[in-house]
Amino acid sequence: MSETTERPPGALQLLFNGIVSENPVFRLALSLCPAVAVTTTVANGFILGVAVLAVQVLSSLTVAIARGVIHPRVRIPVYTIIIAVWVSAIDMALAAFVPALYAQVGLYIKLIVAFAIIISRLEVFASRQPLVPSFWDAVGMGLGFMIALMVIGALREVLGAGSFFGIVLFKTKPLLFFALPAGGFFSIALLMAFFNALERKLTGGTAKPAAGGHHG
Amino acid sequence: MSELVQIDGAPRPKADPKVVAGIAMNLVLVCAVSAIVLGGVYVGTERYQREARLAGERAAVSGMLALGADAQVTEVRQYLDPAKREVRYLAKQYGDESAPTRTLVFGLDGSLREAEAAPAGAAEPTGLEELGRLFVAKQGGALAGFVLEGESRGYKNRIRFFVALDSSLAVLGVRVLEHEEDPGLGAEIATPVFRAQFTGRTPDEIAALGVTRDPMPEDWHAALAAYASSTGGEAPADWRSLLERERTKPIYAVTGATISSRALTRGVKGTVDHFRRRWALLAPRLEGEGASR
Amino acid sequence: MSENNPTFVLSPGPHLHTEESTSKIMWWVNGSLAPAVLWGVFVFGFNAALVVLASIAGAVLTEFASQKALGRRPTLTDGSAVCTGLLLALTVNPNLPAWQAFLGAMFAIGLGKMIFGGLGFNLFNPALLGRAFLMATFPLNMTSGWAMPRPWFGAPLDAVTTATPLAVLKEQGIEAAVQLVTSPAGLWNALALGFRPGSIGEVSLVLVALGGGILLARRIITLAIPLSVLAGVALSTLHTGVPLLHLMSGGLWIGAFYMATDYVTSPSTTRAQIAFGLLIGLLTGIIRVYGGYPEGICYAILIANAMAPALDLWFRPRRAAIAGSPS
Repeated sequence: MSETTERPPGALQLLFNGIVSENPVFRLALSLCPAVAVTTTVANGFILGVAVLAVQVLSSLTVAIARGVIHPRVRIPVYTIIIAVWVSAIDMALAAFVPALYAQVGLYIKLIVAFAIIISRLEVFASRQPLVPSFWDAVGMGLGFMIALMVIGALREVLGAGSFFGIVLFKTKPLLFFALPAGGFFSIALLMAFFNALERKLTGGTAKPAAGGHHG
Repeated sequence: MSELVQIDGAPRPKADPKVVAGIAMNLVLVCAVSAIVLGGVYVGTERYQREARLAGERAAVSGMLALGADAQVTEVRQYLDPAKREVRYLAKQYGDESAPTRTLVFGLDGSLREAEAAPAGAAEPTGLEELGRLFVAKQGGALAGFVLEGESRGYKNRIRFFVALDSSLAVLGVRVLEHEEDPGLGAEIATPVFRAQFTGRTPDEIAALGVTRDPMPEDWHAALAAYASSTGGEAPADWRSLLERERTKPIYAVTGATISSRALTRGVKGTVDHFRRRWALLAPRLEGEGASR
Repeated sequence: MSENNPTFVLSPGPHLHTEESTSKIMWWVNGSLAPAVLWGVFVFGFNAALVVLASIAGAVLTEFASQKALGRRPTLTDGSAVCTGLLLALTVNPNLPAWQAFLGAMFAIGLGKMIFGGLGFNLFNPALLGRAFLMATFPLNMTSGWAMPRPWFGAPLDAVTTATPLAVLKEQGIEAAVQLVTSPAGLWNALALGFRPGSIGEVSLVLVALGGGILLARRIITLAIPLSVLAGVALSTLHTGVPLLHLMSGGLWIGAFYMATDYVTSPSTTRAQIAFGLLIGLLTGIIRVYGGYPEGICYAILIANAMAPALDLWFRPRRAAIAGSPS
């Protein structure tokens, strides 16, 4: 997808792309910090995932609409401002109108400003594509991020806390290690290795392994 | 000064003033639109946000002290005036904007400097350093307890919390109102089990309180969980018997979040300790008409 | 690196023992550990034996399973998996449930070694990674319920549990620690023969030193790393007034002689080795005196492992440097 001269991919393909073949966490290795910090439980992963999905879609739409007027030399600062505006606006609106929900998710919203995944989708996709494909790309990436966080959260919650979605499975904490930050790194690495191996098996060994580390 | 160069050493092309102006205009435009949007959202939500916060606070105060509908709560705002070396206390009935304010001013040495009753709607002092508020609750004419507002520097941002004390100044509970600790790690300090560790300790025990990284004993964890989920009425017997063993022990830090655990503990310690000293000064003065009405 | 031929790769630089085969070295290491292991089992009793066996079994089975799964040639006979299992067992609480030791050994081999490509490619000492994993996962079992040792078949074992000398030193001060160490059998017996609470392999300095002596005599290790580790600990604990207690307690000697000297994860030139050892010693002292844990050798070695390639680079022999190069 170099420029708009190419026909943009369809909605289904963009969704598949974001969730599976270019999964932000397991394939692009983006936004690993929150993926480690927040994924001690499935519920945490889910809430952060929803928040990212919302900010991603809104920011991508804004950039897709405004891409004609953004000067290319200052596009990155402008993207940052757009993301920050959406995050702050959502933060304030939730705090005002749904304080009970805000008490649960307020922490997650503020984290999102610095997520690499959002700005990278703006730069790679929304700034070069029309509104509709940008929307589907944002939805796919947001869902992919959410699902990845929930998978990591599931592994860590079951092993580290002995529960799943808050439902107690074991009375004791089976492997406390996985609830700790170090366990988060290992969980992501193990899952990434697993998905690479799976893909290699399915595609007959031609797939490239996930690209390494991008902070944020 | 040498010429500006690109990162690969090639000389940097002279900036075209037109291009620079274009970029500047572009950024100014984006910032202006953003500012308008944010300002609009703020103006539109600020009132509701404050109301929601106040409602949450009121619920917290009466919930922590288990107050009935007939309880009277006096809100005391505290301000430090560093220039005059004095502390101003503004007391008025909580949640009633039209209630008259009673002002008490103490020097840092503890001497009473000023006591006056101001009419309702008097201007709040400006340019003073705001200390946490405190709430004094009375029920049926008797002192029902206190709620102290405190603040501490957490891992990322300030942690704002309430500490409830009974009339003998022992801790009734701690509630975290605002914090930005990491979900799943530092945010665990806001969980009922962690907060319940403070409950039941006397001011002397709070003053000596430390934080340990040792794992929490299983039986104590179970007792705290039982205490935290018990609603009203008698506290579980397990909890009461284990409290005798644990009350002189340190707070067990959240695994992997020692900094946040220390921050809240330090905050609670400081808040309770300050209050203990101030209350000795305030108590006789607040007994007057201003507070009991 | 050819995947089907996981030979023991030595880093460049002067080495004393290239003529020794990997498996021969490993079995010598294992053999030299035998006295300390047997003594630990003897003084701590049945559960210690279970822990040792479970740890070795966990290491060997994990290595075998992962090599099978990856279609590599099994290399169990080279003794390195047994060595990791043994070393891990020596650093844990003798009262640790055996299944936890098994799990720790699985982690050590699986995520500490095989995932990097097997023997020779691991960045960190696998046994210590296993121990760090156990510390994080089962903090209660790893740090409490220490038993005062007594010879097997001797007086009946009563369930006296106590803290290790270092933990007592950290929490209750010098006098309490000395009291604990000297009360049952006298200071010398306690420190040298192992009549004090501790992990399975750390109780008898004499036997660990004997094993280290065998390795030195066989020229499997040199003195550079162990001596500089001990010197580093002495330096960083001098101001506490009890450097001897620090030097003669804990898993320090196992760490200094058996873990810090691991070829794969330590630098290869003598000067770099001395810096490596001093770094470990200093970090150990700092963690013990100022840190949250009573014992610091495990984390000190792991941190230094990460520094090993850099140390090799910084302290490489002069003649290897090209004149005028920016290094």
